[in-house]
Amino acid sequence: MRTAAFPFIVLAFMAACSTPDQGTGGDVSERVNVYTHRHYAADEQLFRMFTERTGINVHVIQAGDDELMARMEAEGVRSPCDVFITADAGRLGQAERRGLLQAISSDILMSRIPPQYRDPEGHWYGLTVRARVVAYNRDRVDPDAIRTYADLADPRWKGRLLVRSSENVYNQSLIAAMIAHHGTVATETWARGIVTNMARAPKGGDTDQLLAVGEGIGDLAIVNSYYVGKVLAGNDPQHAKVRASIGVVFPTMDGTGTHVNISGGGVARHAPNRDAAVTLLEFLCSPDAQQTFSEANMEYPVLEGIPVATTLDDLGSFVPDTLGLEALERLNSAAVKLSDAVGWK
Amino acid sequence: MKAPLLSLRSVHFAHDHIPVVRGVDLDLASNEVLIIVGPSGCGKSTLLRLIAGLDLPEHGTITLENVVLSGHGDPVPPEERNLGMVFQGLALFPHLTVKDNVGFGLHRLPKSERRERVEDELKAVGLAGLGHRFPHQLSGGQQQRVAIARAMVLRPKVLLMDEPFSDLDAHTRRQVRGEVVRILREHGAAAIIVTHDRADALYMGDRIAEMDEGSIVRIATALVMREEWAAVIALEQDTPLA
Amino acid sequence: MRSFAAHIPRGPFLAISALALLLAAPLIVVLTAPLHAPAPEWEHVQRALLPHHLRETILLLFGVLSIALVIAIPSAWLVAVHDFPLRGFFRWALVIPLALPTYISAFTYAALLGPTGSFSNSLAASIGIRPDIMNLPGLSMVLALVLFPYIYLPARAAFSRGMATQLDAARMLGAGAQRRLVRVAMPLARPAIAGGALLLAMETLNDFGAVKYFGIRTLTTGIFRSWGGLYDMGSALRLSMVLLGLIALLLWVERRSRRGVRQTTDQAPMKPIPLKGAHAWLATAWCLLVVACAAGLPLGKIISDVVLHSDGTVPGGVLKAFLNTLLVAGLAASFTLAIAVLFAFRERYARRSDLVIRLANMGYAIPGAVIAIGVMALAGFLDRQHIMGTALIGSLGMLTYAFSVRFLAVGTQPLYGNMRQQSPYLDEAARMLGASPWRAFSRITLPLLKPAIGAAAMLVAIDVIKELPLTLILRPFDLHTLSTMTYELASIEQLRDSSWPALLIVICGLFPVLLLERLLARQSR
Repeated sequence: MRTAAFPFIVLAFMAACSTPDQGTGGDVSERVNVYTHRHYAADEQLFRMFTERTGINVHVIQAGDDELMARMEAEGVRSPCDVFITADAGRLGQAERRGLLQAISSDILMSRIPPQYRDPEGHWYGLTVRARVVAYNRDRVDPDAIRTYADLADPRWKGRLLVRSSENVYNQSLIAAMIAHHGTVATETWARGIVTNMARAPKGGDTDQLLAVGEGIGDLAIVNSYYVGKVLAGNDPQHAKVRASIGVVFPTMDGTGTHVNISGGGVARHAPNRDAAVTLLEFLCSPDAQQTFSEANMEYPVLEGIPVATTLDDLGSFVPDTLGLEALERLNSAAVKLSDAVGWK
Repeated sequence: MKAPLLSLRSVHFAHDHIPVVRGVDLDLASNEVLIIVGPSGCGKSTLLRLIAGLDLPEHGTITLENVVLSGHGDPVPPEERNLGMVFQGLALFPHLTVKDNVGFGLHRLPKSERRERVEDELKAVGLAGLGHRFPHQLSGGQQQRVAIARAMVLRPKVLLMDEPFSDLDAHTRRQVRGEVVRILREHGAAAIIVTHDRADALYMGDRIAEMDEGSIVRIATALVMREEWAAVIALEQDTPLA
Repeated sequence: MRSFAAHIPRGPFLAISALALLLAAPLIVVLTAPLHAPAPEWEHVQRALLPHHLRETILLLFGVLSIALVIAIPSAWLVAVHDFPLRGFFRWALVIPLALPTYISAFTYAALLGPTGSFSNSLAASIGIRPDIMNLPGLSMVLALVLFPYIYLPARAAFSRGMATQLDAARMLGAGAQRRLVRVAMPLARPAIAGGALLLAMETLNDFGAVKYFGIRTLTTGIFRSWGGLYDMGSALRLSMVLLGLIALLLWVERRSRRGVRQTTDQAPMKPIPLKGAHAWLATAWCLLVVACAAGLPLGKIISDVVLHSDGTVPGGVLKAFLNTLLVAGLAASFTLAIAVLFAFRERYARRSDLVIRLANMGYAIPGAVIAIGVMALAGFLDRQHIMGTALIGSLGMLTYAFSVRFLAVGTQPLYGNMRQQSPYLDEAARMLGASPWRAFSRITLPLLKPAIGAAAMLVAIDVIKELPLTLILRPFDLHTLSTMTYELASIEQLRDSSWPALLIVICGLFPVLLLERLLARQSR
């Protein structure tokens, strides 16, 4: 390398440091900036639809929700983020508590989204629902034996239960919900039972648990409804055995309903394009968008009266747990500590 | 003259298609010290490597006591030739002590015997008591002796030395070369020593071979060479500066 | 080497130290944070989390290192000092795994040999045995297979160049091949091997994707568990400190291993010794086995997914991501190497190495997401002061800077190593002829460093192409690289859809890998 190369490198670096205008300028076309944890083709499709209808361009950064919150905090008042979207109610609560979201009131949002799926003050709104369900081997398991999540700790399932690591947020929120309903002591006993019943040390993702049921490594698996939907609706030959052999039950929390978590979003505290942000959220809970979430991504819509995807419909209907979602945020760290204590990896 | 200890017949070697050694014939008698002199790049170091087996001749044969080292059939690998070598730059193992350097080739002997042989050898080269040092803790002359001891402890039939004294000062050089001769005599070993220093050559050599451009252009006893060189040196000194 | 320390060029040195401080700043931010940040769950983390995570980290480190040594040393030895069928091919084929990101490799191996992998399924169906590599030994194997080139490359260079006469001497003393390797070559190559092992250890320590997927608890997953799960950033940063302590220990071991062994310089390259008959075929078989397992298997799986799954068209956006990847890797490699050259200059003339510079080189061991926190904290602070017209966070420049913070060691180490092997007389001679330190450096040392600079730039580029966490969080709006794309598809468990970008990452990484190989080959001639 010649010494003469240095100035060029410095120049290139300086040029790279200047960012394009991020929405505060005047005559550029309208835009909305989204920080999202979700990375689905369905979302991209919806953002395109949104731009077609409103002329507002959607600009996206996809990354982990904890990292995105750290970025919003670092950016502070200069944050270009308008809408923050994540797939866990606990994280939405975190964002609110850390002052990263602003309360907005929108009649459309209020009327379309049922109260249990949104923040009472309007900091965040649920957009889709996912249920924590049990997939089982139809030949080897009597679904009537699994009425509640508590039943999963029954000794009859010893060495037969599959579940992924407690690293995963859906397991954390399930444990948090158990704590909210049954208290820490009972939940700890329950979690010990789950660990005893495990067919193997937790590994892989939810799809891997389904595959393991298909291969007979275990007989039942705690999984997220939308992974079940994706596997059942898909055509991957590797998943053929799973499709042929599993059934699904919706366990309840001792009668109240099936544990659900939401995917949702809120308007960022320092959103430079606040109006566009609200418009986007409103669009995402419009009937068209809600149907796309369900059809293309196997999620349950929050808007009532929207037909769910056939694959999901075939799984049967369920009553969601009535537990307020803010409990998931409040109890998340207790849930993690509890799983550490019982050795749920 | 009885059958030679080591003999080379029309040995030829090329590096990247450039001939380095061209048809060398050479005989070495038992107990004989043969010096090879010549300008740098004349192929003398390569000739040593060919004898050692570190390089293989393209054609020609090398025999040691009627055993073909290279020529017909599979060449004998260097580690089985029973030749000793002192490398230019010495190639001492920097991570081993003097003792372990010298004992390196004796690994098949039982420990006690090995220790004894190493101690004897160190005594013979005047390094008794320095066995626990590392090479970099020794002076240049001492390092030289370690290299010689390491080669001689295996009682090689022929010792090959490549510019052995190039890094030494004049005083140490005179001292060490005297010792080399003494050690060779004591062990009754033959040697081929490559050098570019005429004084070394005359002091140590029984015979001296002159090499140029890959061939041996002349070979004569040290006595004959001394007279010839004396004449040349006188001539060089008498030449007035231009 | 530092004989004219009396004439230190102070001005330039101060400037370089300031630059080092700039690069060390994000690390200083995150490393000092635990001193004042609250860590409400630390008691729990210390008691319930740390012991398991530390234990599995150490077991994993030990496993990966020992397997990688077993793979790398014999391969490097065979290729460096022997000749056997297909040696020329193996020389570079053994470097291919470098182009594979660990998470792609882990997903791919699991898809074949995990509990429900396709290979495991057919074995279970035919002979009733179900292999499962998704455990600690399995992960050690998988990581070792991807990372072993970090040891293979320096070991090969040391074997083939640094010790030719010593190996000849050992031969003349009757040592066979095995004895030459164990008693002479390995001890002499120890500094080179230790340097490579250090990089490999750092890669293992900061890995997140593969480790998490296999369900292994390491310090890095512990950091994320505290941060995301316990909502306790303070404890997460304290765990980063523990991680750094482990690195410091490894650095110390590496430094010690260099003691007493001076790599000899300017030796003629080793002439390969031909192997005959069964030995030659054994050598070929060994290398073939390594290449097949480390490169053939994962690549074959990815390619077959692409062929079987795709309808012949490249999915939209992949081409753009490909170009973005090249842009980002190019920027990061040139910027990092520009800094590395300045650091090399300082290293050449400084009396002793600077603490700040040493700190700046530690970014390699720290998980990308933690570095991102530090970078964002700094850049966010500047942004909030409205110093620049535009925001730093989310600019390509900030991303480039973050890569330099993370990969500086990859850029500097080859230069330091190469300078240690240069004769100090060369630029001393230049200075005796009246050249200033910078002139001597730029006219003598730098040209000689050229191949090393090229090689280092390639290594940085390869790392950037594979890098994920920094890119994910620091990128500008709408910027996708191949690795973010692969990760997004793989993380929603759509492994087959991720095969296209995965294949392109490998192809993208192969260019620098092969260039690197060519540079090294030229160097050893």
